[in-house]
Amino acid sequence: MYKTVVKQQVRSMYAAFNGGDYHPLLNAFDREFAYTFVGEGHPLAGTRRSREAMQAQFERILRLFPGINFAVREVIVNGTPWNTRIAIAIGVSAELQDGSPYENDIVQLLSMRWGRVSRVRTVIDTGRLTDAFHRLAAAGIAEASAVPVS
Amino acid sequence: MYKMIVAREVRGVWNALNAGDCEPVLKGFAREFRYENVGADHALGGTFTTREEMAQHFALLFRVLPGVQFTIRDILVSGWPGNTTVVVDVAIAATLPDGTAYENDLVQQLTLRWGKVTSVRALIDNVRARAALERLPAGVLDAAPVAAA
Repeated sequence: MYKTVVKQQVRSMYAAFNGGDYHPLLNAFDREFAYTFVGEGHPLAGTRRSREAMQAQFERILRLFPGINFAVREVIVNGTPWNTRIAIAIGVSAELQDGSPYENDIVQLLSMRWGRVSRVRTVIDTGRLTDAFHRLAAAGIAEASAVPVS
Repeated sequence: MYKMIVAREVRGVWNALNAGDCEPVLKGFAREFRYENVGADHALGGTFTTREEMAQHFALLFRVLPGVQFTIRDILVSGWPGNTTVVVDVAIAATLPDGTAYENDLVQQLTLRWGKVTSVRALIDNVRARAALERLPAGVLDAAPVAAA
């Protein structure tokens, strides 16, 4: 039952993000957390530890990839309410601002305690992601070359 | 109980890989399977559908990254014996021939049917992997990806 509820919440948060509303995701974070996006030298890379930084990260994603769609393929929930681990497999797609398509695969690994997210690691094919940033930069989108939010 | 057994078997397979033994991995595959290195357009990429291709892939991996160590951070298991999903979170560490360190994050999504692996999707920071491959001395990489999708 608990796992079913968590899965529904996860799907609901991504559905909201697909509509441009990142607040359900933002509100899920615990007071202390670490969110790490793999890779280096790209504008989404690195670790964030505050809600302000997460908000800036989400807003950057929506600016760089307007209309981005996260298709949740699978949600796996293991553990107890005080020590929950979640893996979310996602297919991401967007039309870049130069008109070219962008698709990628993501696995989000989360730790949750009593309904609050304490840790997230986003693993993604950095090859396709970096290629998308290069295309955006070539189209004049300066933020595609920006330093990561910290 | 079943999920604990699956997690323990997965750990056993990775422990064998750390000792340079890929036989337990190969034996774990179903007669028909698909192993995909997602988006990995480099020498350690490729999609494989036979045990022979997998064996060649591991031979290349051990040649390119001798002494590579896989540290399992977590294993998540879901489903039942007829349709089990496993997610394995792995840290990779190796020393390249030029003495520099190589580290990466790997997430594998596996599907098991009655104890045998029918599909694997391996997701890794491919930019970091490619950068490591470019630091290898000439001749180490004399094989392209084993098979194309």
